[in-house]
Amino acid sequence: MIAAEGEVRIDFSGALSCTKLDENHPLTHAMSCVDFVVDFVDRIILVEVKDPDCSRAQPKEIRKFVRKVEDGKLAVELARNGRDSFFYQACTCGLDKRIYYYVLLGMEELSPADLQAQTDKLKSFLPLNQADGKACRERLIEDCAVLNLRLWNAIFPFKAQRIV
Amino acid sequence: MIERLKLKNFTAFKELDMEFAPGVNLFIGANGTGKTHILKVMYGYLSGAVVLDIIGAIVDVFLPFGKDISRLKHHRRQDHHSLVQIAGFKRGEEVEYELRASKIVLRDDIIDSEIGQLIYIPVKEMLANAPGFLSLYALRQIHFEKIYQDILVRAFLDPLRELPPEMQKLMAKLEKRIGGKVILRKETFFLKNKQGELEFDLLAEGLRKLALLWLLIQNGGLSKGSVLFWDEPEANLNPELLEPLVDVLLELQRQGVQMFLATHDYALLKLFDLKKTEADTVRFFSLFPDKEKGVGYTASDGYLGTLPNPISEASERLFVMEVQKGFKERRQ
Repeated sequence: MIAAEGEVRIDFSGALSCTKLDENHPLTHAMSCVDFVVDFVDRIILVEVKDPDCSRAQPKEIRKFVRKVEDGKLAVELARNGRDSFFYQACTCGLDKRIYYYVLLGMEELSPADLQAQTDKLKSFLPLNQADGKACRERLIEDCAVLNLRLWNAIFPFKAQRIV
Repeated sequence: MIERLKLKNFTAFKELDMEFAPGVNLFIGANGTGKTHILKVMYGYLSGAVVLDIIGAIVDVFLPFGKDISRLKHHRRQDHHSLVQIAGFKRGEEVEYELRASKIVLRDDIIDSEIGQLIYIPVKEMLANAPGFLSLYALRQIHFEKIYQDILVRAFLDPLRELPPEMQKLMAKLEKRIGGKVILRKETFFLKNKQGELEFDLLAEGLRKLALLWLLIQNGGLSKGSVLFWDEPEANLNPELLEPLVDVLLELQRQGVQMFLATHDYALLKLFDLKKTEADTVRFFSLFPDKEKGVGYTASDGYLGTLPNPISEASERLFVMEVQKGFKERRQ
């Protein structure tokens, strides 16, 4: 099962389903959404793809994106997408499975420390389970992270690649 | 200006040949890759050249056991000579100083007039320990590298009569950060402001570091032609003070101060990369163990080219550990 967003392809073999949320499940006008909801036997993964390294990206767009990273607006946007998608998922399908949220950021110039900083910021904006060290009785988002292509492939079994 | 350093059979180095930027030179590398040794050997060598006792100065800076300089050789066999060679400029001509640990050869004992004040700031902040230290150091054989004495001597110097306007601006910036001016009474440093006088023992260590820069600018220790060696500028400095520190260091570089900084800090490296302008010269050196050379290195004019990068690798390991923990363990 291949999820495609622009030049990025992620192989979710083993998933029960992979839904492109913005195409097939329009949320209300007041809600934002992630790119994919991937359903596995034991968990659901929300996936957002941002790809400023895309070969077709215009310099103006890249500058705009870099500004968003610098002024912290990217983390706010990612958090909104994740939170609304989590809420939508909870309302439509319930919360039988643990939900994870991962952002694939095609921007190889970001160092691990930069990605850590973006992840920390995203975590600070999201309703996370065990965020304060204690498990919540209600099921919240289990974990989240912002990763580039290299680290995504180093950590996860579902491999991502860029097709130009 | 120090242009080049060649080392052979010296401490961790079997062979090293490095060309420096006229501005900022940053060294990263795991512990034991010789960052501090590079700073110390250049400082020891050049400060020894001033008093025509290079061997003595290197020994005082490194403090090998028994003050035996041959302990600084990589291979200690008698027939393995060591070489320390530093190239700078003297009236347009290249000047080389050369030293051999077993056979001592000073190829040129004329001091390079282009090399100005030499300042070495050690990792441990010394201003709070100033009272009585200089007389103790002069009269007793205490096991302190000479750099600790030297930095206090530099800090005790009286202010220059006149400072260039750019340096005055820098001092004003630093005063704002440290919250006052530094004064000296009975070998004790105080921070003086409207609230009164605060002895340095009670001042945060990070602020004492900025105060030291203030003193060195005020008394001309850091001026055009000076060479600054600073081991771990980030030590005891809150990250929020790193940005103003990098601003000050880049400005000093623009005023003609060459600097050599050894660091383990990601933010410091990144700030230099982000804040340097096209006119600034900033070179990043990454040192790593190398079978053939003892220590190998790569040089780059940008952060991304600084490879291997143990600081970034450590952040990556931590980050990967965090994501893996979240992904694997919590779903069990």
